[in-house]
Amino acid sequence: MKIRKLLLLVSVVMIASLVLTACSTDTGSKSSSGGDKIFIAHAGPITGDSAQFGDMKTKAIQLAIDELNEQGGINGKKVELLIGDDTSNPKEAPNVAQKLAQDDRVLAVIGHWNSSCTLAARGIYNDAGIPLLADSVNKALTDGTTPTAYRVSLTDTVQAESLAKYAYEKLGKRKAAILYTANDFGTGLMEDFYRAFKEIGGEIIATEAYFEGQTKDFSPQLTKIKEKNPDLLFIAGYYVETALIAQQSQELGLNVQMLGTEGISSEELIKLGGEAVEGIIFAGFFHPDVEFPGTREFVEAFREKYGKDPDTYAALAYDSAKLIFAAIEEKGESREGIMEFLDEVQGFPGVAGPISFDENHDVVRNIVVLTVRDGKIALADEQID
Amino acid sequence: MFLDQLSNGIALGSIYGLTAIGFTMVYGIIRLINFSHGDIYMMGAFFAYTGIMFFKLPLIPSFLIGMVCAALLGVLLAKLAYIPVLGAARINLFLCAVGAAIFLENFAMLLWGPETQSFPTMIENKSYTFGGLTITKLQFIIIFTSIVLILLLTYIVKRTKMGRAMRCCSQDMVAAKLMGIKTEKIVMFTFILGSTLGAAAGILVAMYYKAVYPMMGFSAGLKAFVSAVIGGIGSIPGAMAGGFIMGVAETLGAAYISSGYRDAISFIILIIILLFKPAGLFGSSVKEKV
Repeated sequence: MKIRKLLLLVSVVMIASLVLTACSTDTGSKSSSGGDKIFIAHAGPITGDSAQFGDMKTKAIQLAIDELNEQGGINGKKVELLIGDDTSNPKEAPNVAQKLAQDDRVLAVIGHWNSSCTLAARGIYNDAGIPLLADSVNKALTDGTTPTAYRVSLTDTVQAESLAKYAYEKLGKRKAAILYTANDFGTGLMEDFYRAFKEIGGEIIATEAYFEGQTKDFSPQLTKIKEKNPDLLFIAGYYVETALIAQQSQELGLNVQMLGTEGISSEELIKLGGEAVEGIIFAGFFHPDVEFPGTREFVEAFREKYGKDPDTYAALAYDSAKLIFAAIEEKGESREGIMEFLDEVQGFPGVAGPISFDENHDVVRNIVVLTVRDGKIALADEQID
Repeated sequence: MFLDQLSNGIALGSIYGLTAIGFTMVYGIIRLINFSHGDIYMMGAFFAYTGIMFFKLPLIPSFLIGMVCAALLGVLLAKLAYIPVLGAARINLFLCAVGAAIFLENFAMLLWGPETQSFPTMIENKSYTFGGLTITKLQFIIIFTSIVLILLLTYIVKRTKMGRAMRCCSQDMVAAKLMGIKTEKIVMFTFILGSTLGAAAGILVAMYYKAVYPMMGFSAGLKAFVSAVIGGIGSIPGAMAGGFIMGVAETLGAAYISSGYRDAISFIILIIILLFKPAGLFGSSVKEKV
């Protein structure tokens, strides 16, 4: 019995020390009060199937923070990053949000990448009055019910409409098939693309669903689509599945122009898809070759620090961090101040283009059309006017 | 269109079947619903991936490395997680398996990273057509491997001394021990065999979809479980048949009903089969000994 108690005690101590060390490595600081430091948080997929995006965002935010801290921080205070991992699982996102919302030191949250996660978490941030800078595209995010949410990317509606128009006018496509992931992101895009493509005179001949992270075999859907003989395949999903779809289409002999969204604009698409994704056209909000003030410096700093090119989300996260710093500098260390700043900001110089928010808290920006050429993400020849 | 979809279904079914063989065998011997089977399958694929990517080995040695490492892992799991609770209530064993599964998933995330990695193309995947049925080279390899493994396993279980000992253990662990069978050794051997089979399935599937990721075992394990149950859990040819039924049902369901409901369709099939044949298609319903 005694030994048992001792064992219990030892294990409790061990677990406690583990938790404590884990916490301190998380925040990198031993102090529990935010007195001499400014804290911002990044919530997103650090592990799980979208981890690539979460990782890029963390890297970009960290880069922004390091640059700022090297110059002395804000009013002499260093900025630190807290990270919450939602594992791209909408059931996990509210837990992460709750944890960050209870932390009074957190001034603003950049994050939740997956639309479903952002939608699940936004109410919690709103109740706590924390400004949320999200790059999810589902239109519901800025429906006015959670005024602390700001979107630095475009809505699915705007994106789908632009892509539909691009496919019809620039690519001359008339018969489209849609393959979409059955979540908030994919369904939103599918519905908007369906409507927009029909409105301008195109025809949608098939819509097929699949499940993010579960479906690996797309042959039934693709065989069905092949029967209908479309001239365009619009894929509303993320890069892992898009790479598989491209490979399996090739194996089934379905040779059709593929069109994707910003959800696939990652180097990983090419790593996974190989030559099968060559020529795929997709939307993005950023490309190193589309230069705005600061873009080149950002790309070079990112390359130097991490040895790879930043993607769309890295750029957006970097801009989000910069926005928050500017807000704190101007309005002081308060959540309300940051939101006030975001409401007022006009043409903030971001590396992915100037940032201003409209009355719905949506950013106003353009889509860049990208493609895969010779195993690299490049700008498409034709751009949206 | 129907024939195309049918060949898609058979291809998918052979993958399910292959995964289910190892699963059903472990159940057949020690009555353990081995929920870590899917994760052994994942680890096998990752070991082979490591062999190819980091040690630049050709396919066959990497394949063998994957199977051997997975077998070692199986031994380790059996030693640390299963054998200590073998004498306790069945639920403990089951929980240990679930725990092992969660551990392996997170371990793989830690070691290889959480993202999907691309498995290099080792075999040029050509497709052939036989009277309307299209089959690719890899699909053929998968079906062929499954059949060879079934024959081999059936031989081991039915014809060898080890197999006889395994069957004894499956009937009554205590009595087998009393008869002088080293039951722990048998359990270990069962896990080695099961893990090797799981790894073989994992590597083939990784080659087929050209992707490895830490969560790849989760749904594969679930589908293997369903295939094994449909075929009659414990029956080795049954697992293969169950896999084919699942694969074809899912594909045809996705093609003719709705792609959003493909998993629901396969589970409905499971329920229907269990309603009419509670022991599964090839299962024999032996009364529980009291």
